[in-house]
Amino acid sequence: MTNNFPKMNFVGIDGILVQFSDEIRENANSAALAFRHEVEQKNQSSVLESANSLTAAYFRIDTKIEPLDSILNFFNEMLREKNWYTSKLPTDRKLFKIPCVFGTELAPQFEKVIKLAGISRSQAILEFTTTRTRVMTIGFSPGQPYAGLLSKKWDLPRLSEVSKSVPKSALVCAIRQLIIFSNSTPTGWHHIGQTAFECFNSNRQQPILLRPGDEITFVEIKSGELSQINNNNADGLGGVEILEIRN
Amino acid sequence: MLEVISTSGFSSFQDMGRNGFRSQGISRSGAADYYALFEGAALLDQNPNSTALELIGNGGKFRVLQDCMVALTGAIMPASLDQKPLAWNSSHFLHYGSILELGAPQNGRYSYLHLRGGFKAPKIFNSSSAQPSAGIGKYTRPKDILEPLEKNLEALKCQTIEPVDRFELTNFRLVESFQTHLFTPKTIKKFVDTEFSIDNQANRGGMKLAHTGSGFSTSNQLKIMSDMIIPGDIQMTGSGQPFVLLPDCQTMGGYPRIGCIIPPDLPAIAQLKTGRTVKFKFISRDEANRIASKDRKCLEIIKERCLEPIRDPQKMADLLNFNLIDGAVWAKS
Repeated sequence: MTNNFPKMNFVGIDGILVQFSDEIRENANSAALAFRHEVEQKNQSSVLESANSLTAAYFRIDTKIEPLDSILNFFNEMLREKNWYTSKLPTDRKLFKIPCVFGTELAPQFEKVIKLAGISRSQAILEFTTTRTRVMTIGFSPGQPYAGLLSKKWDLPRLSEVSKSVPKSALVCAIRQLIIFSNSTPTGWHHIGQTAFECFNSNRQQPILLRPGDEITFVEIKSGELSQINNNNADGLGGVEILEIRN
Repeated sequence: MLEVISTSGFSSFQDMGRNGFRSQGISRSGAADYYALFEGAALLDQNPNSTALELIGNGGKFRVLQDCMVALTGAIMPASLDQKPLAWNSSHFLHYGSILELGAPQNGRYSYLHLRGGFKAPKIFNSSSAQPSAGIGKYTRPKDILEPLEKNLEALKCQTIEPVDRFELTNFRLVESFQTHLFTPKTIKKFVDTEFSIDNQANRGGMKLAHTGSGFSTSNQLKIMSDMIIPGDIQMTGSGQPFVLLPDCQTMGGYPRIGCIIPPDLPAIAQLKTGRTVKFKFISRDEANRIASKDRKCLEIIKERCLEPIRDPQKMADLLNFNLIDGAVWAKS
């Protein structure tokens, strides 16, 4: 890997970020997921908590338990152990097939976005319903996936001013990624679809279902079908079909 | 035990927050002013992670359903029990049937009502801190019954506490974070030279910093990859508008952060009312760690700040029952 990656950096006074790339790429995501997983396996008492972002692994550390130098050393040695960029994805991954209304008054930015991407409505929908995007990380709010990567034509910048608010379970896109929102939120992302899938629902035995490494694809539905799903959606599953992925 | 008669819309249970669930997108949350939790816990001789009621806005009114002991900390609110004034930063006995009234906060945004034994609240992801915007817990509403978690505790003396000094801070300390280098040295200099004022757009997730002049952007600002966010980060939205991120902030985001306010200064900035002015300066990581460890030591011995209540003889209905002469005689001998 070029450009001095992987490298370590700080997050506030008690966080370390092990970065595998400064641009979004699938092998850097695999590296970050694997690196975090293996650090967790080592049960270091100075590592209080860990998480993944798109291309980095985050560790909240306690320098009262172990001096900073020695913690950094431990990470450095692990980084040297192998080529993390060829790491395999986690096992027991799942595919989520999520019903979604594209465009209409429910997702008003769809038309503008396909124009920016330079494709027709039917081409766009074909892509969203056949591409299996990887959940690269969970973050921002409870259970919320950042999924990617879409093809290069979807490398669209976020809006410079955040929108007023986008509803819960909205499908939004920017920078070759898709997100399904856990909650209604103002955003700079483009609202292109509407689902009834709740990333977080405390009525379920497992309130958060998606995990990094899982895959998401969409099934196109009409507004009327979405209303029907919403009428019977206490578990927030939104008509999802969940399938095992055989590695 | 208390019944809520009225409270402002955004009051909720808070403790020290939830750590360990960031990987699932769960924010830290917890009291915006953690010093107030420690002070309340010291007054009531309990764990600082006990659940308190965080009051935002216009205070509230409560009916006492069972004799109990409470403490009041954080931003000072005019407080009364059956219309007789109660001291802030103090613990008090409340007798069955009386009415506790709290008014609008005077010197900050976040005030805390603590109950001896802690409030009983459901634990979600290991914490009773509510974050209704994320679907976790709920705001406190009229008719809610607020019960203690632990009952039949030993009686305690009422006390008052010298609060940790935090309401007059105007210079806030930052450390560099992993995105600081995305800003040019010129932009960073402009940032530390600028005097900001606290905007009225402020909640438990973050507060906007108003300023004159142009924004503080990086190049390619709208295509930066989303990455970790922690409370204390100062984030620049699309137009280069700074926001200080607070306990309910998201776990991840794509707007670049210029630096991170050190944890001991975070309750202080969260408490600042609209219009107050602030400036920032960068300090080294070593210095930040020294300050944080001094802060932890101060909190470990917070009970030393407790004093016996000083009572105003004018307000003592039972003045004649007290022996007021002995002390004077002893002092002469």
